Amino acid sequence: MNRVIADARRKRLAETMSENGLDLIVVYGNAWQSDYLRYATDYGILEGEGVALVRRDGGSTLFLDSPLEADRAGVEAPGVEIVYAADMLAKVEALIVRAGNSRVGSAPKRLMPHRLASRAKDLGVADSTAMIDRLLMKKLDCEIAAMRAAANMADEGYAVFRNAARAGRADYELVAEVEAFFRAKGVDDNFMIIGVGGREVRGMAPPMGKKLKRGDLVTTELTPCINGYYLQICRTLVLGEPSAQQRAAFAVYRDALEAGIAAAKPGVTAADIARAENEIFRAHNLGEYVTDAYTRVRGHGLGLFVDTKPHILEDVNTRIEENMTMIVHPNTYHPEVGYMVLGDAIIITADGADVLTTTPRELFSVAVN
Amino acid sequence: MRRGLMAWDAEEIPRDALRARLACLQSEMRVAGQDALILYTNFIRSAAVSHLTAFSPYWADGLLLVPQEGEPTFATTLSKRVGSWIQSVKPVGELVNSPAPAAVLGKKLAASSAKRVAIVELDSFPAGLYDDLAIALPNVDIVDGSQTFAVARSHLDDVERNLLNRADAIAKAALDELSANVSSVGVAVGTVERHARLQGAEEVYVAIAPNLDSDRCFIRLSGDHPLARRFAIRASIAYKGTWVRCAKTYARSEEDRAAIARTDAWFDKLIARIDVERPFHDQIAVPHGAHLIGWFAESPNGTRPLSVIASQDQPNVSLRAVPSLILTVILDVDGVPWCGTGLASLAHGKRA
Repeated sequence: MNRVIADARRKRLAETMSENGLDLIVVYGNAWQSDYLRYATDYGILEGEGVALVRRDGGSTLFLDSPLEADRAGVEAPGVEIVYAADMLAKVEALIVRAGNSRVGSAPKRLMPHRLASRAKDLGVADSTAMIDRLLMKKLDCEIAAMRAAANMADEGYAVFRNAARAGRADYELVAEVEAFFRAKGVDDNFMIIGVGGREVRGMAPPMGKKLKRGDLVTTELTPCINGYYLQICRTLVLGEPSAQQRAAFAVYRDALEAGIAAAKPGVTAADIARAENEIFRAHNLGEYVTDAYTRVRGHGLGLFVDTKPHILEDVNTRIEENMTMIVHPNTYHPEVGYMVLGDAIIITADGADVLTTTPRELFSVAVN
Repeated sequence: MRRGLMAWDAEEIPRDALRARLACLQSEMRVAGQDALILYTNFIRSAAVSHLTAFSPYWADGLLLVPQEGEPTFATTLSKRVGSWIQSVKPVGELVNSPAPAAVLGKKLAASSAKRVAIVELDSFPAGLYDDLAIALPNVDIVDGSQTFAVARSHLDDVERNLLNRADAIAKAALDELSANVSSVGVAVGTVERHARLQGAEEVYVAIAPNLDSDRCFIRLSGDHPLARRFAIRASIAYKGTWVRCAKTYARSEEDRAAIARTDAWFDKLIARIDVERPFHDQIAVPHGAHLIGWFAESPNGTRPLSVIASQDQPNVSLRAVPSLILTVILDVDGVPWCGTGLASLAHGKRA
């Protein structure tokens, strides 16, 4: 909770609603897609679902369908009217109906509960997803400051991860150490996946109970959350001394990351950044491995959601602007060594990318006794 | 988002047990005249798909299509690169990775003879997915399938009973790991979370009431905040898709600890046998010197791993069709605030 950031966001949302001629906006959220709801209410929902009604005067009511969440929100979301309602959707629907001739918007479109979305046409509710997406992508200065704080935690968290990585330990034990560290340091949430092994590993996933052994590549992306803002780092380490193949492969990822970061500046598109990364792979005859058979995205936006817009892909033409925050990560499968990751978070400034994470871009080695 | 151990174990969750659950649901679908049933999942609403397939998404979302006869199909927005991982933790059914899972399933249903398709929790089904289905199925009746699933879900089998007990043991051990003399919120919640994850918890939500004398509300808090002389921690634990909650009250003084220990023993006895045939509220006979502040009971409900189904304000709920129960009681014991949450054993042939 940070009242300064929350108040700044609420003011910006109210101004944007006014510019778009909206009197009321209906915002849905859950713990997965929490960013729209967090922007509007500063509440980090964990269980159940929530719908906020935000008025143009800045006032908002947050409906929650879990009484445990409503209790928590009463403490954690000051300035917001909290309503527990087991029949949340019926209550919200009734309020939209009662809004009469008010101009009403809603977001996000894909996840809006069917009961509310099915009334959108007859109640004249507009889709405001794109409007809020812009607010989520282009950060305020106070949001940028929160992300810098989260970047420090990402670096420190990765150091804990490296220290926890030892031959014989299970992958989920590494996660346990990182999470305990984050809780002690005031990080309420973290997105984290992991990969352990060699050529057979095609991607990262939650821990499966694999024990670390000599020669394994251990990949992770850590994404600690401070005041609601997620900041990601991706690194790869080797149990024991890296092989010549592993080192050579890693050099391709490092060059691709650097090319992507160099391309990231105001005025280019997300596609330009992805292309800069992928050209490095293509130059090494690894073009097949930047397709969706092996990799999902070449980076993505960061903020109140772990995986926000813009997605860094060669077919995404979102214009990159100052104060956008994102991770550039040319993570993919390498046919000689397996899945490898490397990624740094950046802010787009007038001069280009300001890299937030400071962990060295190296293929780390963990000694094996 | 899930980030603990996610691995399928054929001994813990045999395929036959999942097939039996599926057959039970398909039987109810025939009774209801539903040609197919669609269940939504994400990591918040994971319970229904997990019950049928043992799979919970760590991220993104998906849909399970259950035909009236035959194997289910799971379509998910999780990308192809994690397809082999999904198959390793989802031992039944076909898998489709697609950015438009509802469109894929709609096409599959359109090619079948389905005339009536049910969706569990139709009202809260994501609109984007509903639209894709409706476009693909212009001549199909789309109805709510929540009751069909609820009837099939009301049975507790030995597999789920064992998973509940394992999750409960993890939660209790994690809370027991903590000393009442710890002074920082972050260290306290981190200790509980670390221990639970080391024991194989799939997910851990730790909530804390850092000063029970001023506020009994459990909040999400971490970092360097002080802990008062009386505090409580609630651990919500997932193990192989099965969720429990457990809460424990801590105090610094020996006198308070004695009162808490007596109340813990009373609570353990209470939750050891909840009679589903008796009014629930009548069974909460508080110990001498204690004052009941409140209570509520939770159970899996549709896609939700745990939902409040009864409380002090709404006590008259039948427990006969409840597969498992988590009970929370809040007391004042001779001036000592006390909160307890735990897995209850349901008497009348249903013991968790």
